This record gives sequence, C-alpha cells and structure tokens, in this order.
Amino acid sequence: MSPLLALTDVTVTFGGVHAVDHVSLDVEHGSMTGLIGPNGAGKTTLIDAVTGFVELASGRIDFDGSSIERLPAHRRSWRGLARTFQSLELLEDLTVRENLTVAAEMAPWWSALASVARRKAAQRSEAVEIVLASAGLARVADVVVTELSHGQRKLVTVARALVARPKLVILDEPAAGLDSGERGVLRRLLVETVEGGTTILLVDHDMGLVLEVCDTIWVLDFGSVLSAGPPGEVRKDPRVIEAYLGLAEEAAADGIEGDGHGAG
Amino acid sequence: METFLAPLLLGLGSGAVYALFGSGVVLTYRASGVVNFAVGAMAMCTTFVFAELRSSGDLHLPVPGLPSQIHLADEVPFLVALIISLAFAALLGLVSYLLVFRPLLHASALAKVVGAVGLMITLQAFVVLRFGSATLGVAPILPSEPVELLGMNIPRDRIYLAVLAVLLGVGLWALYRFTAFGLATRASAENETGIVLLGRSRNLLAALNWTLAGVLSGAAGILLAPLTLLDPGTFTLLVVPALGAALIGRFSRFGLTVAGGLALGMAQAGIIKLQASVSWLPRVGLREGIPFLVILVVVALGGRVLPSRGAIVERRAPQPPQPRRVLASTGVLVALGAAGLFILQGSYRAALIASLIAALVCLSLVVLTGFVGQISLGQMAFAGIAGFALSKLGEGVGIPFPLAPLLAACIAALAGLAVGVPALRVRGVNLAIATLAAAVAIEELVFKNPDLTGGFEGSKVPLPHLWGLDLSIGGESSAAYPRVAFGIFALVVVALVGLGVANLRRSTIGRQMLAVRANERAAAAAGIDVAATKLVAFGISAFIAGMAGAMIGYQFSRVSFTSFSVFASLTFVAVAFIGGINRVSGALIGGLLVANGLLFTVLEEWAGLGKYQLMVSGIGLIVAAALWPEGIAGAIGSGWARLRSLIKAPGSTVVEVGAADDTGAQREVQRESAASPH
Repeated sequence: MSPLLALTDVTVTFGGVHAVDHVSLDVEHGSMTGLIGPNGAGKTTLIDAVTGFVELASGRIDFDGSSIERLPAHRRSWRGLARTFQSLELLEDLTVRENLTVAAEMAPWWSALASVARRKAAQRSEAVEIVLASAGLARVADVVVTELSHGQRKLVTVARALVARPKLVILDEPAAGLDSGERGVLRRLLVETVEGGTTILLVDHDMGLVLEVCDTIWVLDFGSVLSAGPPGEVRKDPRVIEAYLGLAEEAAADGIEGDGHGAG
Repeated sequence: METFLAPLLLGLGSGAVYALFGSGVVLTYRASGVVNFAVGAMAMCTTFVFAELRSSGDLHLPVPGLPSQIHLADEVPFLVALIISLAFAALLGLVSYLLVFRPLLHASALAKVVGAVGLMITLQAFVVLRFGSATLGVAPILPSEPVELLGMNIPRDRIYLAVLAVLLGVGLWALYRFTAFGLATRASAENETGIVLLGRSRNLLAALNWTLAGVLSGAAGILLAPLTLLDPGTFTLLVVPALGAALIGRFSRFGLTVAGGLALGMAQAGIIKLQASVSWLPRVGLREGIPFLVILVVVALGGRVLPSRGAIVERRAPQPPQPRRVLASTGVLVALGAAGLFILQGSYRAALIASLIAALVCLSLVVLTGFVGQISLGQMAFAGIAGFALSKLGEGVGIPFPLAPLLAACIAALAGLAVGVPALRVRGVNLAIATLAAAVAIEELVFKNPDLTGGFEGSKVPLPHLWGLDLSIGGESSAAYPRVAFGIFALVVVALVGLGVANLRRSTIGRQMLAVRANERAAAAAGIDVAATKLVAFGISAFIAGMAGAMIGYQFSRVSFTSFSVFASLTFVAVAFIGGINRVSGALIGGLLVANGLLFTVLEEWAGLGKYQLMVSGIGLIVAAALWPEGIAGAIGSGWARLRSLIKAPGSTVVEVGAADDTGAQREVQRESAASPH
C-alpha cells in the first residue's frame, strides 16, 4: 500500500532562498510520524506547502492516492488533510464551540448557502461534543477563545483540526507553551486519535514529545532531509547529534544560542 | 502632435493638486496609519474660509461658543488671507488628529475607515450649513497669461503649479530622508513599539504630521479653486484622484506620489480631448473614470498595497451576535410598523416608508460589512443599477411586477459579483478605496449619462400591481399620496429580508462568513472556501441593495442619479454604523436615522432641526467609530443584558457575563482587562 502522504522533490523558494530544498518524505497510513529540526530548518514552510498555504517551486505532493499540489487550501482540507498553526490562528471573537463547529461542518459554499433555507439553527453536532470532551474543553465550550489561557487556545487549535475526522492531521509545535497537565491531555488526545484511525504528522523543534510518541521520525535541517527512521536510530545518528542535539549540548556547555540558523 | 500635447500640459494644473493632496494622504498614513478619506473635505473647508475672507472680509469660525463669524476688514489682502487660511488649515489638521484619529490609533481597519468617512461627512455638512451648497468662483491667484512652450500656448499657472508640486515632493522627501523628525516618523510607521523605546512621543510626531498635512491640503485647495469652481461636492470627491496618486506612491513614497498625481491630471485632460474627437467614446464621465481605473489596476494587481504597520494592539471589529427570538420580534415589529403606517399621515407616513427602504440598504451592509468584514463605500451603486434596470425591464421590455424588481435585484447581484472578483485580492482599507472609486466611476459614467438613464429627469418606473392590488405609492389620484398599500408592501419586503439576514447569521454559510472575517488562514484550513464565501456575501449584499434600489424607484415612480450618488452611499454607511452594523436590529435603527426618515422628519416638523441630519450623522459616525463599535443596537443590547444579569444574580455579574452573554461589547471590556501577553 502506498503511503498516505508522499512528498517527492518538493522545493519552496522565497526570493533566492531555498527554504525547502528537494525534500522527499512519506507518512504511512495509521502512523504517528514526527518531523523535527532546529528552528529555521524549514518545518513550518514544509507544512504550509503540504496544506496549500505556500506555492511549490517544484516537486509533487500525493495525498491518499492523488496529487494535491495544485489544489487550494480548503480543497485539501475537504480531502481529509487538517493542520494546526504554530501561530494559533484561532477564529477570535467566536466561542470554542463555534470554532469547532465551523471546522466540523466542512461544507462547500453551495451547501452552506442552502442551509439558510433549512433552518437547523441551534443544533449541536455530536462530533464537536466528543472532541470538546476529550480535549478537556467541555467546561469552556461557550467561552470566546480570546479569553482562554495560551495552553487552552493551543488545545482548541488541535481540537479544531481533529473535529472533522481528517485522514491526516499535521500539528505544528502543539506542545509548545503547554503546562504539564495540558501536556498530558495532549498526549492522550494524540494516542486516542491514532487509535481512532487518523494519521498524525507531529512537527516540533523540541525532541521530547516526538521521541516519546512517534514511530517514525524525519529530521530536517537547512531545508533538506538529514535523517529518517525509528526514534532509536535517529537518536543515534551522528549527523543528527551534530546538527541538532550537539547544538543543544554545545549551547548548554558554553552558553551559545542553539537555534536560529538556516533558512525559513 | 501639438494638438495632443497641449491638453496634456493643461492637465498639469489639476495633476499638481492631486499630487499635493496625495502627498498629504501619504503623510498622515505614515504618521498614524489612517487613510484620510477626508483630505478633500479638509481642503474644501480651508478654501471656503479663504474665499470668504477675500470676498467679504469675514472670518468664519466653526467653533461652538465663539461668534460664528468675525468681520476682519472690508478688504483683506491676499497674503493676509492666505496666512489666516493656512493657519486655519493647520489647526484643522491638528484637531482632526486629536479628536478623530488619535482615539482610533489601535482600532480595527474598519473603524479607521469609518472615522475618516465620518470626518468627511461632518466637514461637508459644516460647509453646506455655513456657506450653502452653491458654487463659488474664486479670483485667480497665480498669473494665468499664456506662455509659449514647445510651440504651444499654455496658461502660466499650470506650469507654476506643476513646478510647485515637484518642489514640494522633493522637499517632503528630503524632510523625511534627512531630518530627525522624518526618521522618527518613518520608524514609527515601521514599528510603534520601537519608537516608544527610542523615547520619542508617537503622539507628538503624529500631531505634527497631521498639522503639516492640513496645511498641504489647504494650500492645494486654495490653489485649485480658481482652476475649477468651488463647491462642496466636487471638492470632497477629489479624495478619489488623491488616493489614486497615494496608491501609486504605495502610501510611502513622495516622489512617486507626486509623479502619479501629475500623470493622473494629464491623463484626465488627455481623455477629455479624446472624447471630443473620437465619436464612439461615451460623452460623460470618462474623466472621473480614469482615477478608478488606476486605483483598480494598482490595487488588484499589486495585492497588498498598503504596507502594514507594526501596531502594538489592534482591536477587532465586534462580532455579530446570534439573533434570538427572531420570529417573535419580527411579528411585533411588523405589527408596530403596520400600525404606524395606518396612524401616521402625510409627511410622517412618507418618512416611515423612507425609513423602511433605508433599512433595506443598511441590511445589505450588515451582510457585507457586519458578517464578512468587507467595507463597501459604494453600496448605492448597486441600488442604482437595479433601479435603472427596473425602469428598462418594466417600462421598456414590459416585464410584469413581481418579476421585474426581482430580476433587477439579480442584475445588481451580478454587478456585486463583478465588483467582488477584483475585491478578492483586496482587504480592509484598500477595498474601501476601490469601492469608493468604483462608485464614483459608475455614477459619472453610467448614472449621469442621459442616454442611459435620462439624466436629471430620470426614467419612469411602472406602477406595481399584484393580482389586481394597487401597491403604488401615489395611486390614481395624487391626493392619496403616500398610500398605505405601498407602505405595507415596503414593510413586507423589509420583514422578509430581515428574516433572511437573521437566518443567514444562524446558518452554516453565516458561520463561514464569520470565520472568514475572523481569520482567513484559519478559515481556509478548516475547509472554508474564502473566496467563494466573500463572493456569496457580495452577491447577497448587492441583491438586497438592488431590492432597495427598486423600492426607491417605486417610491418616486421614477429613478434618477440623484438618489444613488456617492454621498448617498457614504451617508448610508454612516447610519448603518450608528444603528449597529453587526445585526438586523441595527439596520432598522439605521433606517430611522436617514435624512428623510422618521426621526429627522419629526425633528424638522417640531423644531426645524432637519437640516442638521448630515452633521449629526457625521459626528455620530466619528463617535461610533471610536466608542460604540456596535452602534445604538449594540449599546441597547449590552445595556439590557447587564440589567438582566443584575436582576438575576446581584453581585456576580462579572463572572457571568462571558459565559452567558454573547454581546461583543462586554467581551471587549473583559478582554482588555484580562488581556494575556500573547
């Protein structure tokens, strides 16, 4: 069986800079795949390319058996490709439940327009209530998202990505800024999601969570794939240690900032 | 060659004025992030003060408490008049900043546009109240004897003006490039936090820039007056070519702005020459069409034109609340309206009908601006298209009653889609500029073209009859005017559209509209087709405006361009906003506030205050932009909610508000007090 998501020679350029440089990687059905790399390695650009928020300079993206690189973002979402943003991008001024409802409906404009006549006003969707409960957000369901704590907002973005039961959900640094309780909720949510049949691509510059929960890990640096494999192998790969872990050790050793190099 | 060059050079005069206005717009944008739609109106005020000083020696003061005019001398010398007028202009710039734009520094893009439009309406109203709307002639200032240039005779003043504009452009560029003041202003345009850290007062900088801009546009107005005629309408609308010039300069570069202004003026003069010699060109309006064309090309092709500023916080426009108890309130309101129509007589009944029709226009703005956050300053253009289409369909083709107005509204909806397609690439204030320019172009090119619309006379609209019922406003004899039957007809239309809009808010597409308004990236990621959602909104909004246009046709039994002017569009934005742009009830209140509507008819009949409608709308709009983003309806709504929660649980209101209520105003308050650092 072909992988759920396959990138072939994907390149994204900003001006003359190759933010993502001939990247090929696969995400298998039902897996929890990690994508790591230091800050500025091109991770977020790669997600933007996959989900339709930046254009490819070259390359090809296949999702669930067909090529999607020419589709606009919302159509990729209709195919079952969901994501979160590192910068949250919540629907501010809407309540938590409304944020989720909009994503759960997943309606093309014509059927959305037709719903004016149907008058099914205050109807609550079961999918929304289930996700609200498992993300621990049921208590704040009717609160406007701007009033939540940072961690809660982060969980709202994850819940919003999951609510339409996508085939693949790409999470951009979901653990950053969470307290330990919220981290626990997130971990459980991720495990439940994979058990429910949704594939996850977990993107983070912090290796902790990724090494903990993922079965396959891709390492990105300077816009290119540096290494790939199961966590145990990646952890031992000397290139990764040098480019990534090494930096952290160095930084710890002599106080140099360990991030912020490369494109992106 | 000569015959073609000469008119181009003639255009240098107005081109120079556009360049100066444009530079003023750039100045204030860089200093405070506001696009000054009132630049033409500010110049007009100064020019009227100047003209009045020169002709009668009276100084007019628009300050409450002071005598409204002071007689200075029988003959005020030119230089004295100029200095006094420019001092007035400087003060006007400064006061505009302090009273209107400073409170809006961190407001949403929508609120900034609304505030600027409010200032424009207020100044316009001031001039009309004080000086009347008649046209003044102003004696030449610069010598205009022709000078021979390249073998052609060109009036000298055009050359002087062009040279002046270029010198000013160079001067401004140097000021911003080399002085500490310029550097600080540029820095504050880039990043507000940075400039605060550098220890400069942003306020002082912005105030200085606004003063300078006031002088600049005042001077431009005084120089322009002898070339054209001085009347409130023309002058205020000079903002359109000025914005064109500023857009060419990308709202940041003085050299390009001056060049753009000069080029615009020359192109306009050139097209007039072409109009005379090429038979198939339309006879009217091409001159006004040119700035629109330029704006459309720059805005639509350039994508993000306005450089975005690093604002510290930007408050968001308020969210449309879920409508509640829709059917019950519709029933009550329809009963009230019907009772009003039967009880009221004569001018009061006519005023109620006018308010009903105006509420339709406001409803069209609720969909577009309230739900999707798209600003349209040219809504009456859609109404006009439907009005004239109704005349052609009904009177010309002979299509019967209920079909003809619906078809006409569909044609307006198509026009809305046509405007919406380029608007997809445009956001916020750029969209406001584009729609304003489009409205001016449609008015001048189409509505004022006597071959298409019958000019001042207008064109006839057939009387509405349905199943033998006479729904017309006048009926067979004019004695019955205005008939209750027409009022009921209007009431039914408003009730149906109002129900539709309330339902829209609760439907899936309504939620999608709100999502698009809140965050386009997030909406797209959640599977919402952002472009299609906006287009649907443009279509629906134009359809509703088109229904209003058809109703206006039935109201006067004919349609003429005077009903659909750009100023009508702007005043509708004003009343819709003051009423409450984010909900149906706000649109109904907005309808009551129009010039010939119920409130001002009552005020006129009882106290003779009707002439202040424009002034009140303008000031109300400025206040609403800064303090009352949800208008009167929002204020009533949150007041009511507060009252209820007080009664329900005394002492525990603060905790309860966020969860139990969905009025945005309270949220606003809460959010500010509990703003988290992210």
